[in-house]
Parts: sequence; structure tokens; C-alpha cells
Amino acid sequence: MAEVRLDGVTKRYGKNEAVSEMSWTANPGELVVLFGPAGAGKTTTLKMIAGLEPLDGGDIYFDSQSLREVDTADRNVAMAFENYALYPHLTVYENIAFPLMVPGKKNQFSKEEISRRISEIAAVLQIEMLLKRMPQELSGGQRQRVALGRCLVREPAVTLLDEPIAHLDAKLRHRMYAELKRIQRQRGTTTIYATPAQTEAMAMADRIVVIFNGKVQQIGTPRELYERPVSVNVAKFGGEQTMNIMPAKLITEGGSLRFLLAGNHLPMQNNVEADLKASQVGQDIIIGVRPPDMTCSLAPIEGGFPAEVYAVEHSGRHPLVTLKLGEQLIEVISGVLSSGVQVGTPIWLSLANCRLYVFDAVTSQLVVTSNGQPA
Amino acid sequence: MDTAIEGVVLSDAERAGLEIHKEVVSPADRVGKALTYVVLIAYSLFSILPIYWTATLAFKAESEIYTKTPKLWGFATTMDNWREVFAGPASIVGVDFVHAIRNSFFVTVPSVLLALALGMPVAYVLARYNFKAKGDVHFFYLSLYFMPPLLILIPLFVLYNKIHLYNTYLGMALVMQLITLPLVVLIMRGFFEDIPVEIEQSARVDGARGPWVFWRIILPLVVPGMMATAFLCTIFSWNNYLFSYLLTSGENQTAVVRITLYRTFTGIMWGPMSAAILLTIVPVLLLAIAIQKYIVRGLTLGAVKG
Amino acid sequence: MSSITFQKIWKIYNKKVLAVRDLNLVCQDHEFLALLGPSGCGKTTSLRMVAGLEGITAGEIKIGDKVVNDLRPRERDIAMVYESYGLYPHLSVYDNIAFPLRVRHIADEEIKRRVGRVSEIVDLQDILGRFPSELGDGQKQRVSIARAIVREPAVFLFDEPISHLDETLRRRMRKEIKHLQSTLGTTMIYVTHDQIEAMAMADRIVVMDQGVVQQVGTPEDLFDSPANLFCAGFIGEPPMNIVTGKLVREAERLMFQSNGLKLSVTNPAQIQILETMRNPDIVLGIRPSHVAPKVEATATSVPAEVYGFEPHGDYNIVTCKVGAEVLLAVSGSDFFPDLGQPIHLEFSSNLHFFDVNTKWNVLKGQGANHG
Repeated sequence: MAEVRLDGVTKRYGKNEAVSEMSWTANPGELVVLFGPAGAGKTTTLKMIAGLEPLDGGDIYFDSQSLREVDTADRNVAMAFENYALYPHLTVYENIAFPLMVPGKKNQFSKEEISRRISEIAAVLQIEMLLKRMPQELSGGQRQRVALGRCLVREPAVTLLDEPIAHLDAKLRHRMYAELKRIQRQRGTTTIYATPAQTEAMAMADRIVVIFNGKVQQIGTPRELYERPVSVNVAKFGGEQTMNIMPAKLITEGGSLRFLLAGNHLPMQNNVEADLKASQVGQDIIIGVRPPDMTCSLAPIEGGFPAEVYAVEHSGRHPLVTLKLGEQLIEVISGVLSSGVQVGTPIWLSLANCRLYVFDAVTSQLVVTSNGQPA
Repeated sequence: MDTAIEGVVLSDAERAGLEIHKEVVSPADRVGKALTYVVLIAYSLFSILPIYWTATLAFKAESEIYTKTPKLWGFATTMDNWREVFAGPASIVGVDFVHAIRNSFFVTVPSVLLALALGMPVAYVLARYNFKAKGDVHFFYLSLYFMPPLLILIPLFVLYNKIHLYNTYLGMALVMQLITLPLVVLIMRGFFEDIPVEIEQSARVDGARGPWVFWRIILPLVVPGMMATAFLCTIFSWNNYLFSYLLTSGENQTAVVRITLYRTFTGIMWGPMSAAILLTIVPVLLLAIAIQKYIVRGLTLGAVKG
Repeated sequence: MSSITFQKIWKIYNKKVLAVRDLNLVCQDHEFLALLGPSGCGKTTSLRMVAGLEGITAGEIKIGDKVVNDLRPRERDIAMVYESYGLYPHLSVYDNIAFPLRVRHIADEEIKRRVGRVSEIVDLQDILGRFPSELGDGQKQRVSIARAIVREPAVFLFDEPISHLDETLRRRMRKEIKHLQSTLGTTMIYVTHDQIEAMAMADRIVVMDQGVVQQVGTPEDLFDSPANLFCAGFIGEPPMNIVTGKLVREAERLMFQSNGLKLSVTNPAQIQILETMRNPDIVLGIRPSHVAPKVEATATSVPAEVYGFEPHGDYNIVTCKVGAEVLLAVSGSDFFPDLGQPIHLEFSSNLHFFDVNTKWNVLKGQGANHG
């Protein structure tokens, strides 16, 4: 149950900065998710916390103690690797037991204790029947669970999980979210969890650290990130509810501010207009609207704009209709549009009453959201 | 046509209803296939024939060896040749061949063990660590093969005499490193690189330190690689003629060299020579059979995804 | 454009391994047909048999009206797109796309015209001069697709072309491929193990498991009336809740009962069939979107405990413990329970029942739908 603090942590590979000046804190007992696309620096960060990669700048602290001089084996962390890293010459049981059998002052576990712990964790991960097998005989999902088991069988100060359930099938994955969260809460171990999947980040996190190109973009609870993404990068990255990103301009028309979007002059909601008054006319902005939030209709909408249907994809509830506006692709989910909608049909969209986000095109930062709260 | 489905579990009705589709094979394909077989069989015969012939010579009576029309089978056999080879100092040629075989063992085994002991750490470092001279070190070991051994063997002969390593097992084991050590370094580096670094990292995170990780995790994983490399080193050491010929003499020479002594003033003793050749081949052949499954089995260990 | 017909197709490897069992299927002209299933189900083998890359053990494959069993791949008028792109690294994008045409000795003028047209369709006009090593994954896949389109084949065969791409790119490529097929109208058979992908793009889906076709239907068919337990559990995200239990009578009503769950059966068609069953054991399936968590109890609700919680923005997935069962439920975006909190689940009447032994949907009887 340690506090983990990163202060200006930097890592370079040649000229490339894989991690730049990263600073954030995981409170004791908290589950912090490192969220970002492949190559963002999540795995590198986890390895630096474990001590497997040296730092090129900054420092990492466990409970205010610097880890600079502390060797990996002494840090009391447990890690589950993205590519499992199971010991191929040991059985599943031996793999999971390995951390408990390494010689060292902390490891004085009796055979019974080891056996008890393994049974417990194997039951939760549903791998009891695999204990005598060798890693080569297992499927990807099974190997991943064994790796998780090996990580969880200890009770370290900090647990590091690198995409630990990416390869499980859908049914098992939802179950594992619940089980992992439950175990983490029960034990109160500070946990850092890396994933590129937004749904996973939302499901697991107490707080999320969003990382792009090695830099922290935003830190907040899942709800905070969903409701107030601080920049375009955070807003558009991944997941089911990817925000539509529409480059536009601010213009005036008859004294009011309007959006200029692909040649259409669009009126804005009052509170949005009020908050944008300070901005330059002619300024480039980016409008973000989530697919289910967009108002759409087959008939023309006053103050709206038309776009052509590009593709129709079925999803569980309502079809996901993608529209083409110039070079832009815009997604909408609406009960109004049936799955029989043809490619090429014009659909009318409106930004008048929906929840939208306005970002500055140059700085990519959030300027205004539709309930009129300034950034 | 039922052979296409005989191993499959089907109900009788299904089996009856199935019409197996016959592959249409063009004449051109048939000729191609036939030609492939002809070439393969021809080459196999070409490879095996010399060994088979030697084997027959080893068992042929002297009369059979010198007949006008040589026989591949159905000849009169004798054990005389073998008696000669095993006769020790009392042999006609005066060669204690069993002793020569023993020499081969005492040269090969230390050579291989020394190469493994010296080469594995080098291979591991080259696989895992980055440093400026890394490419140079690797190239150095490779470069040992560029040089014709004969170039240094004459000076080495002089040197060995001076430091009393001439005609010793130690001297032979050391000079064999010219061949075996680069082999170990170059091949084992690949095997060490094949072990995903995360496996070692995982062990370290769990609290294990250097030596424990090496002995308990890494070594067991490269055993097949070690077996293959050791086997190659064995072959090259055992079969080496030049080093033994130049750096040892008389009774201390290895089997490979001593075989030539069956060429006497009065003529070549084909029978005993063939027997001696077979005896020289057999230990390595047995070794190959014994460790075959290590070399073949699971060199890709699937405990890491991909 | 052509239809593709599988007639009594079997594929057996090495006399022992049954890869495809009795496949009977018609892919209509202009149709986007998906072959969906877990690895080893026979979908890729079936695709490769159409392409001519695998021999056919028994049965006939027709492209249009022509039986193609004995035709070489290049004689079959098909174009294939793979996961690994198959681009020639030493040729530029233009030359890669032109390659199949050059092989057929088509005139340079014509090649230029066709490649130009195709690169517009797939949005590659600006990078025709580049080489594969300079391209991103999405671009490489588009070149691969362009090379398939330029041949103007009767049929497209796509073998898991986007499974390995990252999520954002995958989503975009899905739309592009779908748009492409809709506008070109070429018959397409698309193999994937990702049910979201198949459901999103296909006109009809063939669900396969272990060489056997489980169900053939539109995405709606598969979602609303799965033919058997395999399809029920495989299609739909989050996956369907599956509970084994017993049928009991209470007063005049037919009820489903399991460890913790008690629901009444209201569908008359289901009641009619279920009442004739001798064995009271039955398997229930209900989609998480048909299970609504509520804070307050209602007349028909079932008590449960919150075991897990996943916020998804405009809806949330709640993992609930009902007695000994673990079920998934979908709630609105304003529902934020604590872990361990007692709640109440409202079940819709949209229940699916599956025979405990045969695993088939009781409403569907024994046979699989053949398309």
C-alpha cells in the first residue's frame, strides 16, 4: 500500500524521447490507469517504476523514498507483462509459485501457504484445472491468466499490470474486470494498470492518466475525462464513443457568432456563443460531438446541415451511420436512422441542442463546452 | 477413395453419402513429381554409398577385397580386420587403435567443455548488453574463421615446444578453441537473444538476483541450444586432422590421424583401415542419435506470445 | 459479379482432421457475406477453397454457374486480400497496383487508366510514387485492397484484413471497406473472428464452429434469434447471459428457476414448446441490454448485489451477483452504484431458451439455417 510518485520522469532512446517529464501520483490503495495508444510510453513507464529501465531524468518515489539506488529485486513490486513472460520449462503451478519460492528475507512461505494462495487465485482466475500443464499447451487467454496469477499471488507494495486481460474473450473479460477490481479493493494494493482500450480504462480506474507520445495529457476520474476532455487528443482517442472531430471557423453573421463548417453557417447555443465572444472572429476551431449526442433527421433541419451517408454499420442497439462531409467522416448513432439507410442518402445534422465541445485548433485545448462552462 | 477420410469420425450415412473429389493432376505435374523422386533417391544413394562401401570392406575377407568385380552384398565375411584393429600393440601395423580412439575422447571432450565454459558468458553478454565495442567483439569471433589455421600452426608448433604444450591434451584442447569457441559464441548468442528479456525481468521483479536467474531460468531454456552447439563442436573437434597431426605425435595422436597408418610400405590394408574408420565414426553417430530429440524438440518455447 | 455456391463441401486434412463439414451455402451476387467464428472453425479454410489455395475433399464450389473445383486460382476470377498485405517491397505503390494487370499483359494505357481510377476510390492518389516501407499500416492495407479492385474480379475474398490494426485504424478501415463494397457492388466473402466487425459490415453472416455452420442470417437475425447456445454466446457485446436452471409451474404460469433467479415465461410460442418437454432442465439466455438495474424494487424485480461496474459514457455495464449466478446488466449513464450495493434487476420478456442437451434454441428445432 505505497504511494507512488513520478516527478519529471524522462526516458530517451537515442534522440527519441519515449517519456517526457512525466509527473503524477498514485495514492496509497488507488488503482491508476495509464491510458494511451500503442507506443505512447505506458510499458516504458511501468518498467521504470519496476526498475527494469533506468531513468534519463526525474525520479520515482515510493512513500517519499527515492528509488534511484534501489534495485528491482528490492522494490517489492509485482508485475504482469503484456506478453506474459511465463517460464516455459515450469508447469503452471510452478510458474505461479515462483515468486513465493525465490530466496530472500521476505519469502518464508510454507508449502501449505503457497498451496493455499495458489488455489485461491486459481479459483478466481478460473484456471484450477490447468495447474499441472506446461505453458506451451495453453491458449493465449489461459497463459494471460497464469501471468496474472503469478503477479497476484504475492502481496507487494505496488502492483504493475501491463494490458493484463487484453487476450481474453469477451465473456471472461467482463468477469475479470469485476474480479480484479474486487481483489484490488480488498487488498488495498496500489495498482498501476496500463491499457490502450478506453472501455477498460473506464471500467477499472479510480483515476486515469492519459498519455500521448510520452507526455501526460490529462489526469482525472473516468467521469471527468468523459465529461471534460481537456484537449482534442484526449477527446478523440479510441473506444466506442469516439468523439467526432470537425475542423471549423468562427464567423459573424448579422451580429451573432456562427460556426463555419464545410461551407455551412451554423447558429450556436446561447451559452456557447456567450463564452466564445471573447475569441477572434475567423479563428480556427475544432468542434467535437459524440455520435449519440448529434441531432439528426431525414428531413431538413432549420439551422442544420446535410451530409451524405458513407457507410452503415450494425451495432447492438442502433446502427452506427457514418456520414461524409467534404473530407470529414462523421459518425452518428440514432434511433431515427434505421439500418436500411442507403449509401449516398443525405441526412440532416444539427449542433443546436446537443452537447458539444469547442477546442482551439492551434493549441488543441478545450475552450468551451455546451453547458457553457469555460475551460 | 475411402483412404481420404478413413481417420475421421463420421456416421455411416454420412460416409456413404460422401463423394470424394479426385484431384486433377496434369501430366506436367506427374512428370515433375517423378523427377523429384528420382533426384532425391539418386542423391541419397550418392551420400550413403561410400559409408556402406566402407562398412562392407570392414567385414570382407582379403580375397573378397581384391576381386575384379566388387560385390555389394553376398560376400564372404570375416572378423580378421576387427581383430587387427583391436589387437593393440600386438597388431600387424603396430597401431594401438583403441588407444587412438581414447586420445580422440580426451581431446574432444575437454575442447567442447572449455568452449562452453568460456563461450556462454560471452554469448550472453553480447545478447543482452549494449556497449560500444559490441560489434567489434562479435566480429572478432567471426574473424577467427577467416584465417586458414595452417598459417598459425607452424609458429604455434614452435611455441608449443617451448612452453611444453606440444603433444599434450591441454595443448590440443586450447588450440581447438580456434574452431569451437567462435561456434559457441556465435550460435549461443542467438539462443540467448531468443529468450524474451521479459522472462528475466519478471524473475528480477519477483526478487531473484543474477546467479539465481541464470541457473534457474536462463540455463534450462537454452539446453536444446547448448546440446546442438556442443554437438557441432564435438563433430569438428573429433574429425579434426590438421591440429592433431601437427601438434601431437606418435601414440598421442587422435584416431583420425592414426587411420593413415594402415597405409604401409607393402600396400594399403583396406580391411582393417575400413574397420578403423567405422570405429571412428561410430561414437559421434551414437551421440547424434542420443541427443537428436534435444536438437529437434521445441526450440521455440511458446510461453511468450508470438 | 457473381454468386458463390458451396455444395456439400467437406475438407479433411491428412485423413484425420475434419476442417469443414458439409458446408452448403449460397453467397448472392453483390452480397457482403461474413464467415465468422473462433480460430479453427473452418472459415479460412472455406475461403481458401473458393480461392483455389486449398484442395476440396468432397463437394462442389461454383462461381456464378461455373464449377471451379479443378480450376487454378488465377483462372477463377477472384481477388484476395490478406492480413499480411502481400505487397512487393521493391515496387512502388503504382507498380504494386499495376502488377496483376501487367501479368495479364494489359496495355500500359489501359493500366494507367485503371490504376488511376482505383487509386481515387481508395484515396491513394497522393502516394502512388511511394514504396511499401514508407507507408503506414492503414495505407498498406489500402494498397492491397486497390490491387484487388483493379482486377475487377467477380468476387472479393478478404481474410481478416484488419484484425491486427489498432482500434482507431480498424474502425476507420471498417467504414472504408463497407463503403467500398456498397458502391462497387462486388460480391464479397469476408472472414473474421471479431463478431463486432462481422455485425458491423456484413449483409449476412455465417457463424461457424469446428467446421460446422451454426447459423446463417442477417445481423438482426443473429442478434434477435440465435439458433443455438454457441451463436447466442458468441454474438453481441456485452455477451449474452447464460444461466442453467429448471422449468417449474407456479399456479397457472410457467417459470424459469435457477440458483437465485426466478422469471416467468410469457412468449406463447415458447410456452407451447417448453410445456411439451419431458426434461425440466433448460438453459436460459438473456442479453445484458434486456436486464435493467434499478435502485428500488418493483413487483417483478429480482434482488441482486453489485459485483462490478464499468462506466461507458452514455451507458454503463453492471456485473451483478444474483444468488450464485453472475449476470451482466446495462444501465443508463446516470446509474452509479457502489461495489457491494444491493440493487434490483428488472428482466424484459425477451428471453431465449436452449435445450440442455442439444444446445439448440427451443424455437428453432434441430436444423441449422442453410443460406
